Amino acid sequence: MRFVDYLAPTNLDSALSAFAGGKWTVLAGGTDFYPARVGHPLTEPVLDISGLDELRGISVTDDAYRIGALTRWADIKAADLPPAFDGLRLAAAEVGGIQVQNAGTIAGNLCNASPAADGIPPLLTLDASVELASQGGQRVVPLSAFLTGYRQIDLQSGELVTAVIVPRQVEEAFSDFQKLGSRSYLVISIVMVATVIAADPEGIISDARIAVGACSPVALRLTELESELRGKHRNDRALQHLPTRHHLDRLAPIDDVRATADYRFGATLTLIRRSLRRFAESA
Amino acid sequence: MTTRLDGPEKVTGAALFPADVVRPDFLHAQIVFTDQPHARLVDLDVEPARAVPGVVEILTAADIPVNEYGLVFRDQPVLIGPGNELTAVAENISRWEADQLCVVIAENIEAARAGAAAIKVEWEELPILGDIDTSLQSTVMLHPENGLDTNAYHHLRIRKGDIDAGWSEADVVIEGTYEVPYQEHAFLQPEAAISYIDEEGRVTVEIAGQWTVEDQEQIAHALDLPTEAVRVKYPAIGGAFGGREDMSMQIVLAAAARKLAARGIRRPIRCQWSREESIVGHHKRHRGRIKARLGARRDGKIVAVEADCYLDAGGYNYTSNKVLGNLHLCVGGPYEIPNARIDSYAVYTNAVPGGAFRGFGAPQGAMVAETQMNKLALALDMDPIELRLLNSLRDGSMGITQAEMPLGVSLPFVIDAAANAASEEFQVGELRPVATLPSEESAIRRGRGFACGYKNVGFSFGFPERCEAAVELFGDDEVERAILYHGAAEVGQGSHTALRQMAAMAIGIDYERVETVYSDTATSGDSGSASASRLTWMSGNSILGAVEEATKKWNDGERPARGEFRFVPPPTQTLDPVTGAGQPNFAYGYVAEVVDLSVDIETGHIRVDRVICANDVGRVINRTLVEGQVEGAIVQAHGYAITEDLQVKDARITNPRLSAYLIPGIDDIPAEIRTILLEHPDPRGPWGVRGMAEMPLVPYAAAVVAALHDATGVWFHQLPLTPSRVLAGLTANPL
Repeated sequence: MRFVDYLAPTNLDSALSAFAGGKWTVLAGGTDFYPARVGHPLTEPVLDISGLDELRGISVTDDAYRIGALTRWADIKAADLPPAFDGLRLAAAEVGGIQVQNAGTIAGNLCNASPAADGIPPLLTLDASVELASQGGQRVVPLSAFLTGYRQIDLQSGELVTAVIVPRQVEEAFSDFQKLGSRSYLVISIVMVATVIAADPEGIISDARIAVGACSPVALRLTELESELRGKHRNDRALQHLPTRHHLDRLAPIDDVRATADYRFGATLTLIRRSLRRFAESA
Repeated sequence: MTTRLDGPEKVTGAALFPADVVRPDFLHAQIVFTDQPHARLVDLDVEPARAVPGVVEILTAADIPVNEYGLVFRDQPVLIGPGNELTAVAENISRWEADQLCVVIAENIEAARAGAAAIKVEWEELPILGDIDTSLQSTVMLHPENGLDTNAYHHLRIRKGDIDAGWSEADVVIEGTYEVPYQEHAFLQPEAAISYIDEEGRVTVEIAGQWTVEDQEQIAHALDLPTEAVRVKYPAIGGAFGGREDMSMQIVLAAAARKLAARGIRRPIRCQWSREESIVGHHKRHRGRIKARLGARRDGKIVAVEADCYLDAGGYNYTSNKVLGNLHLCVGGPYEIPNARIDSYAVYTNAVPGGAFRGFGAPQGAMVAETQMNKLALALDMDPIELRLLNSLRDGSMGITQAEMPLGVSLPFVIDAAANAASEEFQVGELRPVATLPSEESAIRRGRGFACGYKNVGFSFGFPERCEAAVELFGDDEVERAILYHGAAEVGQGSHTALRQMAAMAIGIDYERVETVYSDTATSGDSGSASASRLTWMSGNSILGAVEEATKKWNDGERPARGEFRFVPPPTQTLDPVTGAGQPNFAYGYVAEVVDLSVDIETGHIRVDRVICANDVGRVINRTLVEGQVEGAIVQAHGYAITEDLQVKDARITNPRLSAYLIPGIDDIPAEIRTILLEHPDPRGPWGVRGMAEMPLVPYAAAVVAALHDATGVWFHQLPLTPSRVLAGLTANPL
């Protein structure tokens, strides 16, 4: 018989103190952990944090929404959240199938840091930050900085993700998420587009955030397009001619088993145009 | 309604598939693939594996007495490595990434895998012939033992009429080059088996297969045993579709059980492939390239057909020469063609072998023939239905191989039935290819397409086709109960139910009074394979014969009265090597389909809103099962036409996972399937039954291509029609 260290703490303090003392693989919802180990005996020490109930659930303060690290996609899908979270909730419904949504957690999606992670583009459009805790203390990092590269994150030794923080800035804004794959569901994205667009009572766009996933090592916000949108009226005919190819210059899609890079560029433009049209019609 | 025989067990989970069988004293086997598309084995050292704790035995090529196998001819070593040299095939050359190198048998699967990882192997890499073109141009022969100076090892010809006269008569000529793709069977149950020495000393393999006796013979040949020393038994089978017609682990597991027994170890061995091993480890529907020309007069009458067909056979023949033959018959379409020249080639490469898959060459042929016909209709400004009816094969027609079609040609009837149903009104659904992505109306184009097809029933080209059954009748004055013994494989299609129904019909007693003993070479005869849409047709005839024999004995007073019968259908012929003349088949099934689809021209997503399938089944034995076969075939055809994109690079499959090889889900399949079952009896079928289970797959892709053209004005010559490919096609051909 082989034995591996397995620890399942029931509170955050004991988890952090265990975590400080060794090299652990963190197990939360398990939806990435287990598939990566099919057919291989478990060899590394496992810190199972799925029992840390304090890290589960959504709460709201005067200036932010706090989504606990272990909040499952099914919880987010069903949560009573303002319109700006519509994109995130649509994404929650697209993470794997029902079984995965019932187990997979928001922090797991971020820490796995797949370029095709469904949760990342909508969180980027919400200007989300990641709350990290270690025995030494706590820090909060913008999600865009937390994701440092292809499947790479800014997580120091001994640190656990404890929450995702969304500032209460544009709660009533229009929000959308579109995922395009070769199949209707249970599919890895070819491209994803998330949008959050706020307009003033006259219909002038005050804030626009557009993020694209699966077209670069890390999902990206299209800041140039966002600034062109700001100040325009929702019914401005110019919106129909946005975006154009040069707005996608920072993207670096690849040819892979799912689609060609050319297809990804074209589909990204289509998805953004459709979101802008939905926004125009949303008033 | 008759309850499906295997229904309750499968619904409750009680049915035992090969991987469900558990014995306390199991040993576990890990099959090691060579992982070399083309290489010569320089050195194999299994001693480090023997040293791994828990490893019991390692099977190598030297343990296979006659190290060769193959369903049609034996061109594949069972295991790669220095063998006994009782085969013409070079045993030390790997020609496919999933050629098998050795088998590690251990106390548990972890030890078997650790043993596999410890094996030391040295290869000399050989040039990889990764596709048809590379292989045709290469001077490297993959099977020099066949004495040919080309890797195009099988060539079929048709020379009918006067092709030059045909072209001079043609007012319209349609030309096209078509690329048809691989398709993976993706049956629910990956390969698994157990092997042991049974109570009568027979080496026994319990596995999911399609033809017990064929498995038995291939094992016996490789192990140099008389067939009666080998037993093959099928537990519940989780789908097959042709993918279990060739050997996967049968021979090596039988050899392993024998090797252990020789050491005095009499323990059962189990083996189970992962999905990835399954996708890499068994053959596929052939990919290929077909160049075709079709000529017709202004009045629509076809006057000439030419085609050059190339199928990628992969490293070994499997059933490629037979699949090629069927493509050869189908590529001109089910029409009266006075003048034809067709050349078809199977080409060895180092890619995954092509082999049997529902339709067996007919889907590739129909994709070409029917797209050509739809283009012709457009060029003639003629209704595609009228064009078909004008040229359709009928009773008395000569087929493409200059032999009269077997009687009961019902193509005109299925064409009419599908066309009439399509003329009714209907509403198309909202195009919704992705849950969060409803298409915008302005981006949707809608179209309708038609295609029809035919497919042989039973084995072709002179194969000694047969089917055996035995029936025992019990009772005094009246027959009170009966037992049917039959080898037929229940691969999920419902054959065990249909055969029992036919036995009850033949005897004239209730279904409940018929007991059945199935799928064990120890108790049943040779059923032939669960393939070629033949099982109901052939088995029904064998049961009718067995019941007649048993009834004679019953009338002579025998109790119980046992009747045995071997049904042999009319003989078929191999085709003439020069002209292709000959009678290749004894029966056919006919089908026609109409597809209505919507396409999003900004994303390339296709949604099939409705498909009408008119299939002549001759006689319905069990309506639910027959409708299930039609719907299943269409779903599988939908994957072939649109979503399933197996990718092979440098002769290696790069997406051997169901997360990247996308079979259609419930929201992807046609929103509505309207099944129309015609019952024009096959004169030779039992109760008029026709084979029917492959036919709905045959014309579907061509109907989709036609509907896509109707919607967009663009012809597509390559499958599958993934969003990426569709959009590229639309971009290259602006509306």
